[in-house]
Amino acid sequence: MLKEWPLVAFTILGQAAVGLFVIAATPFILIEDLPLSDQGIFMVLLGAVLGLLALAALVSFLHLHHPLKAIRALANIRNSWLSREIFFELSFMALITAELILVGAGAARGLLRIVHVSAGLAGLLFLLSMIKIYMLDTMPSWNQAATPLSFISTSLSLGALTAGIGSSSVFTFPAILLVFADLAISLFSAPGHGLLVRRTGAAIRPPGTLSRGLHSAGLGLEAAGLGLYAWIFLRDPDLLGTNALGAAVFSLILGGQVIRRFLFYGLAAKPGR
Amino acid sequence: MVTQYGFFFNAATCSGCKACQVACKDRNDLEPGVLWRRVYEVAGGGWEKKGEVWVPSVVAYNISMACNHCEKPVCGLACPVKAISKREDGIVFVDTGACIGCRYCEWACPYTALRFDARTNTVSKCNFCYDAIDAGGTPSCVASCPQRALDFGDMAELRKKYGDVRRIFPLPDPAQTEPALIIKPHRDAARAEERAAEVANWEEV
Repeated sequence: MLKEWPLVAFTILGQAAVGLFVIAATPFILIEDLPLSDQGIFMVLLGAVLGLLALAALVSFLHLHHPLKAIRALANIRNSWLSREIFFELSFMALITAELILVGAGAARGLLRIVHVSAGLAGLLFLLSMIKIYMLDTMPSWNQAATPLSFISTSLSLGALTAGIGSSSVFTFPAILLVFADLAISLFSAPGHGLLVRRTGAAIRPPGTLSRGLHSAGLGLEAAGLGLYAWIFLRDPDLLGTNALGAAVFSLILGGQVIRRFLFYGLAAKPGR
Repeated sequence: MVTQYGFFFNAATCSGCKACQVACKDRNDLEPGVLWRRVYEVAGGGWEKKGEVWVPSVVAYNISMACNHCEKPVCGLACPVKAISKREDGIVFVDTGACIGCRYCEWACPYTALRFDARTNTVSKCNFCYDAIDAGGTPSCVASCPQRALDFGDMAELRKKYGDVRRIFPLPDPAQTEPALIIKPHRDAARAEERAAEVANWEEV
């Protein structure tokens, strides 16, 4: 389970990037006459999404045993969701880079919108590929609604949370709702742990490493972060932002999601060495 | 001409001696922990009450399993670098020179046939002893079985000889990959699921 840390980091960083782009960057492109000061924030936001994606790509190399041959990973786009995932991530990065350059060069809004929508589409296809990779007939513990639900909720909740804490309190309330939804999805449908999950039958695959204590710890951390977030929001939203309280909320929620993602990979024990 | 090689496994005859497993390891010089063929020990049951009498309801049998060189090899479809391919005679190959070691095929295969080899940092699996086959010989696992519980050949011939059963508890639905495998089930297999049988030797396989 712990050996899969590059995949845990890759999926969470990639999903957070998609969520941040869709939730936080899209409103900027809808505004007709964006003030110059907001243009700067928009560029920082696009840069942050690009940074998350670049970090995700770098970490994914650590999962490979022959990273120097990784360029060949685009060879099977016709059949392999893994090839498609890499293709869409690279496309997403390229289109965001193009958008950044166009914003910097003061390009027309119409052109920016076309590039932005294309980048968003590439991001959503990147997320879809990530989901499809794990929806395998051969892995009943992954091949269920919890996988797409949890990946999408991680994406949206972390995207809104990053935007809410890092830039604007406009995103705080949506972020609270999305983190709550993420918690509920995990509580009820997490494979192997969720309250509504049926036990999968015997298979010719070893049982995974499952720890109910760790699942509870993950839920507890995220719930604590959500509670703190809601308390600050109700008391004084200005307390948040890039200070210790904001960092504590972010760390607790992210920590909970990371623990649960490790458990997700723990469901797929690999036989042999 | 052979269009799809396959294995036949007689679960009713297999004694679980693991000679096939050892012969495969020996022939292919596999590292400890890397098993291209392995023997699953399926066990369950206990005692059940019939009227006033308690009778044993033990379920116990073995399944010798390698790569099933599936007609629909999902490992090859999943591989992002096309390192897994199928020969004209149906044998599924891993090109270790092309493999990047992402190990996605290990998840995709329902029979856990793909095994990570730490020497080469790539996945590896049963290659049907293709060099022996090409020379008119026999796969080492088949040749080594003292019970003659294993056989190999063209799937069309195997079906004529042994029928078309391809599933035994707890193997997955053959529709997933169309495995080139024919099985003669052990008599206990029909009751294995209801008696909550499980693979008893996970640490070994």
